[in-house]
Amino acid sequence: MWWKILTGLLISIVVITIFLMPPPQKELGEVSRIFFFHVPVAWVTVLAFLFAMINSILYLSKKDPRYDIQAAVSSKLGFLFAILATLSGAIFAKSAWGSYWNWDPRETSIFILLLIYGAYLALRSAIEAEDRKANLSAVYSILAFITVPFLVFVVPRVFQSLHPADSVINSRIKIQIPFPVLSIFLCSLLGFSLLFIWIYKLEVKIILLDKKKHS
Amino acid sequence: MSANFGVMIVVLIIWLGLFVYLLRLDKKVKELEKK
Amino acid sequence: MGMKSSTWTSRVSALFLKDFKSELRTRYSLNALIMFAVVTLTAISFSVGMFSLNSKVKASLFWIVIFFSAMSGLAQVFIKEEESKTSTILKLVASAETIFAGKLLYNLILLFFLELIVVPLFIVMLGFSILNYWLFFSVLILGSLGLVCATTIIAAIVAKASVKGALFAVLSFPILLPLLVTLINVTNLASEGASFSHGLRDLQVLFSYAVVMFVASFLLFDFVWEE
Repeated sequence: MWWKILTGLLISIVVITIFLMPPPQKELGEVSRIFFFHVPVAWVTVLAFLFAMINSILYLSKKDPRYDIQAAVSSKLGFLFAILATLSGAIFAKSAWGSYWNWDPRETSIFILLLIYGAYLALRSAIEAEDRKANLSAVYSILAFITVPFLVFVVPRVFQSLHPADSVINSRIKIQIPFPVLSIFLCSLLGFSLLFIWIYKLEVKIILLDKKKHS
Repeated sequence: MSANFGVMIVVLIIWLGLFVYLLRLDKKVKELEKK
Repeated sequence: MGMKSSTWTSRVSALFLKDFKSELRTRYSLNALIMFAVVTLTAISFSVGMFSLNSKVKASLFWIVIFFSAMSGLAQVFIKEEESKTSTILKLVASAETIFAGKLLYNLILLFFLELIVVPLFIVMLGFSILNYWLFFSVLILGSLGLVCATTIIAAIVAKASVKGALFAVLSFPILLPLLVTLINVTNLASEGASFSHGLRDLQVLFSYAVVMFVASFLLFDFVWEE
C-alpha cells in the first residue's frame, strides 16, 4: 500500500520539477524536458516485455491460466507504453534532429517492440478457445523475445551509418549529468516502473475476479 | 516561465486525477476480493 | 509401411514426400509463390525501366520479393492439414518432432525452388550483378534456413487460429526483421564484390539466427501442435 502512495508522490514531484527547473539540455531548450518522460516510458515497455516473456514461460511449464492472464496484461500495457515512447521519441526527434522519424537504432528498436506487441495482441484476438489462445500466444511471446538479442546486435551495426546524433546525446548525458538532473530522472524511472506494476497488478486482479464471477 | 508553470499545473491535475482513480479502483477491488 | 520399425530419417522423408507429391498434384503453394514473385518482379522491372539502381536497392528489392513470396506461399503447409482435417490422423501417425521436420524440409525445398527462379530473373531483368558469388550462395543457404525455421512454426501457429487473414505476415515480420536486415546488408556486400572475410560477421549472424530459430521452433512446436 505504501508504495502506491510513494508512486503518487514521486510522479507528482517529477511533474513539478521537470517543468519548473531549467531544461536539462541547454542547446535543445524546452523540448529536452521530454527526456524525463520518454526514457522511463521506453524502459517500462522493455520491463513489460520481460514480464510477458517470463509469464509465458511459466504458463507453458505450469499451465496455470493466471500466468496467461499476466502475460496478456503486461503485453497490453507494454503496447500502450510503447506507443507513448514512440510518440514522445518522434516529438523529440523533430525538435532535435529535424524530422519525426529516421530509422536510427533507438527508434528502430522501439518500433519493432511496438510491432511485436501489436502482433501478439492480433494473435490473441484471432483465437477464440481460451487454452489455445494461451498456448499459442505464449509460444509467440517466447519466439519474439529470442529475436531481441539479434535486434540489439544487428540494428546498431546496420543502421548506425545514418545517425550519429542519437549517440551524441546519449554520450553527452552519460558523461556529465549533473546530480539534480540525474536524481529527477531516477525518480521518474522508479515512479513509472511502480506505476506500471500497480496498474498491472490491478488489472490482473480485476480479470481474475471477473472470471470467478462468471464461472 | 509562466507557460511552463501552466503546463505543469495541467499535467499535475491530470496525474492527480489518475492517481485518485487508481486508489478508488484499488479499494473497490479489495472489497470485492474479501467477499 | 512399418512405421514403428523405420528410422527417424525415413519417417521424416516419408512425410516430406507425402507433402511434396500432393503439392505436385495441386501445385497450390507453388503457384502462389511463383506467381507472386513473377508479378512483383515484372512490376519492379517495368517501373524502373532504364533507370539504374544502386546495388543496395537491388539487394533490398531481392529480399523483399523473396520475403513476400514466402508470406504468400509458405503459410499453407499447416493450414491445409487443418482444413482437410488430416491433422488428427497425422498426430496418430507420427511424433511432433517428425512432423515438424517434415514440414520444415518441405518449406525449405519450396523456398530453394523459388530462389532458383527468382535469382536468374533478377540478374536478367534488373541487372543484378553478383561479384562474389560464393558469398552470395552461402547467404542464400543460411538465409533460407533461417527464414523457413521461423516461418514454419508461425505457420503452425496461424493454422490454429480461427481468423487467419493477414495474421501470418503480421506475426512473421517482427520475428524476421533482424534476418531481413542482415540479408540485405550482406547481399549488398556480395553484389559489390566484397571479400568473404568482410561478409563473415554478417554470415555469423545469419548462422546463429538459423541455429537459434531451429532449436527454439523445435522446442516450442510441441506446445503448438498438441492441444
